[in-house]
Amino acid sequence: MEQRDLVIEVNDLRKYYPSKERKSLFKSVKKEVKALNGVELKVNQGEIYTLLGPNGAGKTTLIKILTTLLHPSSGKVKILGMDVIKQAKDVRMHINAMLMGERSVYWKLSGRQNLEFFGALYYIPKREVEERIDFLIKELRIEDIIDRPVESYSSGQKYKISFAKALINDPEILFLDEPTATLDPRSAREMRELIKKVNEQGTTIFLTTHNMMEADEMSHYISILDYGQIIAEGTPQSLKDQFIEDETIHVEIKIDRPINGHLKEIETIPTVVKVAQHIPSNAKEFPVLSVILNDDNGIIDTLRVLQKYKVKVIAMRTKQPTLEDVFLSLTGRRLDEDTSLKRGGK
Amino acid sequence: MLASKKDFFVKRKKNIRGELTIVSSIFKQQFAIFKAYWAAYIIFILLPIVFTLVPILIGRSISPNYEKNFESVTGASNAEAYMVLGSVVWVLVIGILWDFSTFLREEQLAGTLESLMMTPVSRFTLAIGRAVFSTTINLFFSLISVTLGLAIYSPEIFTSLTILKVLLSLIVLVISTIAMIGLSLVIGSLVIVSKEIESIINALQWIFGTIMGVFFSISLLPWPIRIFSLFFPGTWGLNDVRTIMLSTPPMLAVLGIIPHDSVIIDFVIIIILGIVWSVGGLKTFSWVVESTKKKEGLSKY
Repeated sequence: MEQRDLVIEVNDLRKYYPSKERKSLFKSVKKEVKALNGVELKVNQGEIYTLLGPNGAGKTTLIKILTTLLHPSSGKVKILGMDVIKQAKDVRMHINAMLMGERSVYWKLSGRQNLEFFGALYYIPKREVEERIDFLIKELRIEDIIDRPVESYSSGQKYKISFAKALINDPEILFLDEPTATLDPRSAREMRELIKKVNEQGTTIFLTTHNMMEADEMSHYISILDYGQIIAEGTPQSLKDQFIEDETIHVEIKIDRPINGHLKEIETIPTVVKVAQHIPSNAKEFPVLSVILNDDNGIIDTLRVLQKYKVKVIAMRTKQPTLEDVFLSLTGRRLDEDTSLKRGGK
Repeated sequence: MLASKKDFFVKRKKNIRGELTIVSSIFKQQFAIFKAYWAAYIIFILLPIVFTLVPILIGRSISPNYEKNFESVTGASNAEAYMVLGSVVWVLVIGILWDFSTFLREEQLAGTLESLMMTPVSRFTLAIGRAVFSTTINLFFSLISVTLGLAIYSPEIFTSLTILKVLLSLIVLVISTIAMIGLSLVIGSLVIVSKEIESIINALQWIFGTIMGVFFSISLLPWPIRIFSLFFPGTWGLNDVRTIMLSTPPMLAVLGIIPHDSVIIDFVIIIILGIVWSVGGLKTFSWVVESTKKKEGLSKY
């Protein structure tokens, strides 16, 4: 790709948050949380670039620096060739974002009033704003809700109007922070379709997610962020090719209860490459063990360990390698693990 | 169909007209939100009227001729009108204080502050937009309140009122409101840092009411508090409205600093306060935004 096609350039980006640990009523110790630690990335015009990582990896911090809402501790960031600190206002004219999901618009106003208001803040002449709103109403199919107060919308509709707000200035780069995180499956699917459509119309998309299926489905290019560092990058397929060996077997075992204490015993099985456990937040759902193996003998050994500790197997399946497995083979953890707590919170 | 991306950008220009359009959009947006809560503003009409009754009744309880002593201290022959004006300007100050001190925090809590800060609009234009709305709406309710208050407690004053007096009073109030907005922006910015609204502003509204001499002359205040009150725009605004409407002495004469009976010097001081507090407010706001960007950002609450 030629130099002129680069729309985002990040060099050695670091962001350290100050934090205090209170020792007593009058005594506290100053600490520093390293949210980003030497991030380097380049985004080409017209692509959907995804930053994939678990909660607490530093995705939101990075997207806020790119959208001029945070200053980095050190490093260089250029958007469309402009410095995000020195030329922040010029950068803002050409970008937009949906960072807080449904909370990024005024709930007491109607969808149209929100769009008119934000359109004016981007110095778009009134007639142009009206044209743009009409266009967005059609594209996003929000005719029925546009003149109702946002507070009366469903969650999916609020996301749609926030998405429309993020498109009001026809941005060259659209930043989306976990755009489907709290949506039901149908609304999430609809949102993904809209994002793809906007990208097809020429807008570069910079997306953060911890949903590997979403990243796999939508992205032209993916960077995996973990503990504030990019640990792998490439196209979805190249990541799988690079980090997943052809002969490995990927198995998911649904079990009746968590097995935290016995994971290490499974790890010691010679044919087991990696193992991780997902404990769902919903108590009604079962925990899932993800196991990467060198050969199928390891499956029997794994089941023996479970049987030894009287853990019941609810279901088991082998599956095609996914980005989840890429992350697992790189870190030994699952993507849905919250790492912010291990870092002392952000 | 929309123009191509490149053409669309060309049409956008930053100039004075563009900034004025934004100010008007902020006004419209604020008015649309206000319409959802308009009933709450009725309290701004009623409060000054209720507040005034208390000192009047206390005065009458202490002495049936309290007005004479009141006149010798304040220079106002009409004690009720003096207190109505004090009460109305105080509630105006409280309205501005709440509007401006809480708007940043409210936007922060609602999640819209980042949306605003991500637009290319300057903080100055954003503040002007909010200020125009806040001044208009608060002055509107103050006008209704003062008319009702004077009609109830001191209807005879209407015979001595002229259009010039009313216009001059409005000008003084607008200028001191601008200064109040600057001061409130300082407070609002600090609220963003301290993350505490209710207790700070609740305390401040009573402190301001005391130092601006709502029901009495500030010449009665102990001298350290009197010095403090000189930096508060509400003190000047209220005293000058009284000077214009009730022919009481101007501020500097009340304090015995310069014995004169012209309100012009007070006007100049109010304008200076307006400039100093507005610049101070914007500078503090910018400083807070920039310093939060270096830390955890505006969305942390």
